[in-house]
Amino acid sequence: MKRFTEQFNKKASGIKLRANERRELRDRIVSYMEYHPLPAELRQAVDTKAKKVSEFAPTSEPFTTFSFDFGMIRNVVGLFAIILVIGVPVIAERSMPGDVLYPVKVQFNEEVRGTLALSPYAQVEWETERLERRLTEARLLASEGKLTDEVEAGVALAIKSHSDSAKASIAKIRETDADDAALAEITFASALSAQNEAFESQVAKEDKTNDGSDGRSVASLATVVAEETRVAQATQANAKPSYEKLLARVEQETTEAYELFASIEEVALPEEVTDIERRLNDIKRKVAEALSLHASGPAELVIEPALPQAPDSQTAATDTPTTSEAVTDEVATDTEPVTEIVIEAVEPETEGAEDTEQAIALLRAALTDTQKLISFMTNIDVRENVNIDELVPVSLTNDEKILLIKNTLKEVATLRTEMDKRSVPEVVAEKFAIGEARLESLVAEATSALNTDELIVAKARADEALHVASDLFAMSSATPQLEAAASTTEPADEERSTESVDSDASSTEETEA
Amino acid sequence: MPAKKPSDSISGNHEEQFLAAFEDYGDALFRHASLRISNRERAIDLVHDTFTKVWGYVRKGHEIEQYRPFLYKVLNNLIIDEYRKHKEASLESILEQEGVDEGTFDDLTGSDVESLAATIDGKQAFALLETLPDVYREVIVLRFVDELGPKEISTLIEESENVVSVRLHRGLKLLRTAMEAKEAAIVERRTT
Repeated sequence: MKRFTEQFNKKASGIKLRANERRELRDRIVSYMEYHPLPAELRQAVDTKAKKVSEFAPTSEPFTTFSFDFGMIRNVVGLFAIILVIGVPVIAERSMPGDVLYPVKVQFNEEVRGTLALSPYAQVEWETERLERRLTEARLLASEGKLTDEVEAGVALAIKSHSDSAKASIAKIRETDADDAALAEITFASALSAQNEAFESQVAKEDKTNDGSDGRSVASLATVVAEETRVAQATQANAKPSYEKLLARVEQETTEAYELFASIEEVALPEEVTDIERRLNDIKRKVAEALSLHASGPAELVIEPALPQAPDSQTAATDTPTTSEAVTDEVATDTEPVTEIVIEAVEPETEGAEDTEQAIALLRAALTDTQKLISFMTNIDVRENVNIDELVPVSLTNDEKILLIKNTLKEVATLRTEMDKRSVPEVVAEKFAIGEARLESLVAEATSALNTDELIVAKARADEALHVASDLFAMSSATPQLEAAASTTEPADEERSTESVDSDASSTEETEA
Repeated sequence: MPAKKPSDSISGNHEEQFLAAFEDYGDALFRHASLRISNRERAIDLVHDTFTKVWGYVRKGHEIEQYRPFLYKVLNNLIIDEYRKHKEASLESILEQEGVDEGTFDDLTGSDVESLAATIDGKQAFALLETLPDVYREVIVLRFVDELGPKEISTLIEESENVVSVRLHRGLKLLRTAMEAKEAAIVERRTT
């Protein structure tokens, strides 16, 4: 029942007064109280702990006695203990490097929280969060000009330390579950990658002449983060989680991403909503593609009539099963169709294994994109420093890819039309002709690939065709200048030759004379 | 039963104690009212009426030792009045239709309620809460949202603990039936 109560409570906890409703309700109640005040005799302090004085207290005593209000002392001590045990850690939580309570935050609060991470995976997540905290603190200090060399060195050490702790936890996971370790590596690398992009962007905006002495530069830290990111990405590239575990993790992360999106949709800007929605749709598409590619997916129960088969054809059918054909469990020997449950054949083939690899690659991409998107939605540092286009580039749909290729080919056609209006000088005629032939061939290949939905080939050919067309256009447009230069030199030559003829003629005349 | 809130033992005048009670229990009362009558604006009004009634009680010189049970009692009465205003079916008429006398469930215990609750998905049950008649919704919300014990609920609604257990059991059963019917409808839609 505890689980039922917890689930019920969790749903119910979402029902509460909004801040403005609460305020208005309180105002209404207070107004009512003011219009209906307490009678005078009730407007006195209600002391629930009245001091009682014994009526039998002696009037004189032979000894001097001291009485202590142990109740008050107990309260004061208790209050002090509460301040020490609860208040200090709570206040320490807001401290920054260099503050008096910062060691309490890092070495007590965070260590205690770390012990609450029961599973190694939770520990990896916690160390990742600690690393992100250090980076956020560093950015905040840099914005205030307080990121001194000493503090920066401390943060760099902390980054390395948390990174090493995360790797140690991943190694621990690997002892029992290689898939979980692979997933943890991917998660860690994604988090670092998002932070790395934020830092790169921030450094790019810094004044290039800043040598870091003003406490505002994060360039050195960015180098540390970049190195950790490089190592993490290299490690996770070798990680090979299983399809099922990867799919489960993707489902988990995408659910979280959708819930986050739903919570920020009302307050985010319209363009932010559109951008995030587009990425979520891209991820959904990748997952759908992975599911359809996966050859050894879950068997699907299909109720359909099993037609009677002749013995020979039945043998042939079972000898060559494919993923798309249904294989009946029993041979129907009579002529009446039998309705029975059939299961789609799930025979692993070479092609199926390749499809699974592709499906895993798609799911990895979907997981990384989802984690970066979550980072974008939840981490203000990432959001302020990185454009979502850089962090999670849009994945074009097939229709968009086709449109892009067609636009490229249109651009090529436009360039060719312009080229036809120009002349080609003799000097480059041969080169031009070769280029034109190549262009013709590329356009034909691109169009053919487009017609057969080989989009990768079509894009490559179209891009190359545009490149060649641009070169040819430049060649033909430069030609008039060359010809003009050539024509201006000729009259000068002619003049010189005319002069020489005239001078020869005059010298001849003189000689004759 | 949750720990005592500051409003129960605050040293100060009546106004301070009263407003502290609003801070402590306002949200919980609103939640309870919302779940009972499924109307946000009306729920806010009922919470307002609850506090003004209690203030009237305080003005008359009555001492309130613990605000929480008192507030719930007043709110519950207001909700019952709300239902009577809208002429909801009475418990008697519901039981008449179902042909059951609550007095026959003498052997029903808290453990039966626990066993039944363990078989139900809390999230789905919550979504179907508003389909329950209020007589069952009342005890379900008091038990699983406000986390009152059977004894506290029996004091609040002025019924025996046995009746409370019976209503809890019946309410949970109705929720489970509603969930099964919903799932069957979904399966039917998929296959057609």
